[in-house]
Amino acid sequence: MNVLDYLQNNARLYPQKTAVAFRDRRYSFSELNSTAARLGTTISKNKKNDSVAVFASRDAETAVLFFAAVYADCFYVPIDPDMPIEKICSILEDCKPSVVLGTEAVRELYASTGHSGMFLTLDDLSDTPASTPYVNADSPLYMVYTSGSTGKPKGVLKSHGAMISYIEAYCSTFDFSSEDIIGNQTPFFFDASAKDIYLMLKIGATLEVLPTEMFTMPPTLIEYLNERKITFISWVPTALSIVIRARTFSYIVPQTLKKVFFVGEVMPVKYLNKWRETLPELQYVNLYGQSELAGICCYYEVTGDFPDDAVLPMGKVLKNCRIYLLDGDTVITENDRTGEMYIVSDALALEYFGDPEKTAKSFLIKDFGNGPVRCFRTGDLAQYNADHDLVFVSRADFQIKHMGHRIELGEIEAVAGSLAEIDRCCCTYDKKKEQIILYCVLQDGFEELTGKQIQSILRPKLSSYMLPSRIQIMDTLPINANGKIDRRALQNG
Amino acid sequence: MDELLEILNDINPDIDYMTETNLIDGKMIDSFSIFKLIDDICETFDIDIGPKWMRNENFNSVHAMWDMIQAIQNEDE
Repeated sequence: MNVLDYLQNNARLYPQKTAVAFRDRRYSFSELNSTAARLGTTISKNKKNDSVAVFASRDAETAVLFFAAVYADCFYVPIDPDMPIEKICSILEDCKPSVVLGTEAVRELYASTGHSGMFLTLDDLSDTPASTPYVNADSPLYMVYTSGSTGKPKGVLKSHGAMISYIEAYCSTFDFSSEDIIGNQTPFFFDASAKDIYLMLKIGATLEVLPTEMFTMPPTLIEYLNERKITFISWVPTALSIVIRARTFSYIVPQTLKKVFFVGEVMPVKYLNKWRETLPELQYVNLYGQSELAGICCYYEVTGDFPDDAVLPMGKVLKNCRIYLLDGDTVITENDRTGEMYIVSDALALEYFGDPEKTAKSFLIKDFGNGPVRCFRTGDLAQYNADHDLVFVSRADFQIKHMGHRIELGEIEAVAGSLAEIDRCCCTYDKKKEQIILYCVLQDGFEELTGKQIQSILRPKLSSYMLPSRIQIMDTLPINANGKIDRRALQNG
Repeated sequence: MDELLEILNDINPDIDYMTETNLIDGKMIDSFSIFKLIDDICETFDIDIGPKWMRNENFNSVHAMWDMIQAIQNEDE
């Protein structure tokens, strides 16, 4: 099966219905399908390999460009047009696309990279639509670049089969319908956006791309959600938190929203509780995934009460995945014992592009008791709680040895983040100086507090060896292109 | 106005605030900086910028911000 089967099915069922919209530009399912197929023909005539880079601007056209690459039997590589030119060059150099897609607005930007691939836009449509290419489950569909630990972006290549495995499992777990209108927040060069795009494709829903600048002015954002009758959002927690910080709900509340999902980082419960107090009838779900698999692998529907300082579980495993917690070689089944998470799933990525060594290190063949299977070593530490829900503990990389103790930096962040005085925080470890450093943004009304005072407040709440030796008060925490706290920027000062 | 310019320069000194009229729509001030900007304005001018004032047009230029500050001060009186 090909993901284009979903698109063609919707073009038959709902030809005139809006598939994707950005402000006043709308593509119906029929238009999305036919335009992508016609550009697909042009790509096929000009391609010299299977990689097609797409400047993934925030607009409706980007979805057309993605599927045009798929029609040409290629995999697409979304690129953030606003990232530094050196990074764009580095990605183009790595995936070597012979065809690059974008809008007229990025033609000059692309020219400045000096890359030799042919640049095509929606002005280059052929009169003849491409036929649906034959693919199998392992045929590559798209590749996203994520920040690598070396500073060089790494490409994670995912297949048609992986995406189909995920989206079928996701849609059979939650109550989505073609009547849903999805409010997309995550940029198209960010892997989390694939959840929105393929949800639209699978169920025939409408995908409304929300203008970025509205996230700066949350009241106008909520007005826009109401105007566009958005029923479902799957946002990074930072975006949901911003709505609360701006005291938006004292002025305007979402009127058509039914489901609020969050993914990509830890959702601060103090902000989630404000959403739930104002809109208790909505469904709230915490999602957990990895760039190395299509979509997500765990979900937790928030139903009970959680105190503001609680950490939400990752919850249950999506039905297309199996998760094993390993302590050494022992598979953990009991509660409250920490182990590293391994994922077994048809949704796993194919490889780190062009890096067999790294691929072999992370994608392993392992026997968990039922014979050897392909799995992904996540590098995340987790436990089962009393309800046998998975609970994130920390990144294995964030586990440090300090003063003879094994410490999870995530635990320090969770305790500090629960303080009324702290809005957001991030903890790092300076190996050379053997110092735990806490960077924090203070809540309104506590701006006068010093690092020393925060340290005193933390002292009774943390073991002495876990107490940060340096606390740096920040106006904001640096955010990377994916909207997450940029730990590397903090560590590099 | 000088105090407002000082706050803005503290956020990003590379912008010519006297002429720029597209600070939000042009994504020169992002969602993370806006809260620092609002906190600093509230503290400096002793006002409360409630959600009804959080609109692009009130923050797109230094003059728009200045007009908004004056309007809130008049409203408070």
